[in-house]
Order: sequence, then structure tokens, then C-alpha cells
Amino acid sequence: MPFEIGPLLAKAIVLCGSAIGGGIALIAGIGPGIGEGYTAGKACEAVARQPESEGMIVRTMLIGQAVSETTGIYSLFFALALLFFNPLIGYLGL
Amino acid sequence: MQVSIGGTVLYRLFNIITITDMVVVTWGIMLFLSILAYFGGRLFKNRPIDKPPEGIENVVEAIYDLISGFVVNSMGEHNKKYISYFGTLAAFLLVANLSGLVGFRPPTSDLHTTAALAILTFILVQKTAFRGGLLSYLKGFAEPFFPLLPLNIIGEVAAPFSLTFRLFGNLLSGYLIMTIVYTALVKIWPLFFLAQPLHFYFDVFAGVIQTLIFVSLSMAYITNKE
Repeated sequence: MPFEIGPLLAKAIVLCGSAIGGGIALIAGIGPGIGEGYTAGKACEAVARQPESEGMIVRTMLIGQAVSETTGIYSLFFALALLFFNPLIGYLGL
Repeated sequence: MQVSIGGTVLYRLFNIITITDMVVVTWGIMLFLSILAYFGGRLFKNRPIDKPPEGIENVVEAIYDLISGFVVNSMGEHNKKYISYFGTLAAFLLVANLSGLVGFRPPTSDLHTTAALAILTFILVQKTAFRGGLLSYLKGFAEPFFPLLPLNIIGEVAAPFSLTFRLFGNLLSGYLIMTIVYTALVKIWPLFFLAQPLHFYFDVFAGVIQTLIFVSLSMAYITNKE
């Protein structure tokens, strides 16, 4: 008897793959982590060198960090989509 | 656990317009801000200009000074007309982000709200870029030289997307983590107070920072196009 994949098993495989994919997508969090830490360190150096322009430095640092955070947020959105909205289930045609 | 990008549907109007719980919370925030603005503005009606401010007038003036100083610092003296827009934007975003503190799901954790706000910024940016006429608008896409045209177009379209997803992702992840913590504590509800300090990070800190970032990035996009 040939092995046949039933609808329940197919769904389980898709859900399993989505969960693993969501976890892997969040590896992208490494990049923003390193980048934002580097920016904060540089901002610390700048404040140490010029304490009088602290406000401007902090504001610039926050904007730069927000921009470099974008890739992390994209990966977070993909992980959330894979975990909770299950976009791949529709491809099964069940 | 079920999560949606757009809240739960409460009512469908003619099958086209859907009223979700996020929309109702947004209406509440609009009402709250409108009442504040009405009573704040009424203080300054029929008021002699040389009279020093007293009591609550100081607070209203301090808030206005904060916003106008921020706009003038980032965009320059000639862009004072943007004070009203960015003041409204900052007030709405701040109240919306902090509404998680009183038990609502923040409306900014709904993709539709953040997309609408990002589209507003996108329209303002395009309008600013268009000020020099059609020819210079089209020429702006071929800077610094022509082969970069597709990259420039992608960069132009990516800006509202990144604005949308940054706010949405931050607020939704904060809301999700708070929901997960509260769900985990349901069986041992006397320990609910353990989750309270997390509000300080996910609602207050992230909310204020994201408000600041959304407003400053909008300003930066607009001033870049001048």
C-alpha cells in the first residue's frame, strides 16, 4: 500500500514548516541588534567628546536606530504572519 | 491564540465599510483630543496679549512651545505651517500608543491605522517634491545619474512601507507580549502585578520613542525633498 498524505497530515506539515520558518526569520534580529548597539556606542563616544550637544546626538541616534531597525521589524512581521495568519495553508487547496 | 492585523469586526456598513474595535478606540481618542483642544484653545480666546500666562495656560503654552520648537529645529523657520499637522500627529500617536495602559489594544497596532498615517506623510512628501513643477519632479528621480532611476523609485515607495511596518511591528509585538504574559498569569491571577513593570517598557517607553521616531522621520522625508 503506497503511503498517502491525508489532509490533516498535509496541514500539520504546513503548520510545522511555518513555525520553523517563523523562527528562522527572526534570526534577522541579529543585524539590527549589532547595528543599534554600534550606533549607541558611537553616540556615547560623541557625548563624551561634546557633552553640550547631547540632545542633538540622542535625537540623531534614535532616528538612525529606527531606520536600521527596519529590517528587524520586517522579519518580525514575517514571523508573525507565518505564525498567526498562516498564509501557506491556502496553497493546499483543501 | 488568534491575532489579527486589524482588530475584530463589530459592524459592517453596506458590506463595504467595516467598523472594527480599533476604529471605535480611534474615535474615542479623537473625541478626547478634540475636547482637550477645544478647552485648550478657549483659554486663549479674547485674552489680552500682554497678560502673563497663569495656571493651566502655562501647560498649554509649554506643549505648544515643545512642538513648535521641535518642528522649527528639524525643518527650519520657513516650515512653520507644518506645526499644526505634526502637533496633531504627535498628539494622536502619543495617546494611541499609551492607550494600552488603560486596557485597550493600541489602535496603532492595527495595520490600517499606521498605513493611513504613512500615506498622509507620503502625500505630503510628494507634494513637497512637486513644488518645483513636473519637470524637476521627474528629474529628481534620475539623481544623481539616470541608471539609478529604478532604485530611486523603489526607495520612494519603500519609505511609507517602512514607516507603516515600523510603528505597526513595534506596537503589535508589545501588545502580543503583554497578552502572552497575562495569559500565562491567568491561572495564578494574584501575581498579575508581576506583569505591571512590563507596561513601562512596552507601552510607555516604546510608545513615546515610536511617536518621536514617526514624527522625526516624516519631517526628515519632507525636508529631504526641498
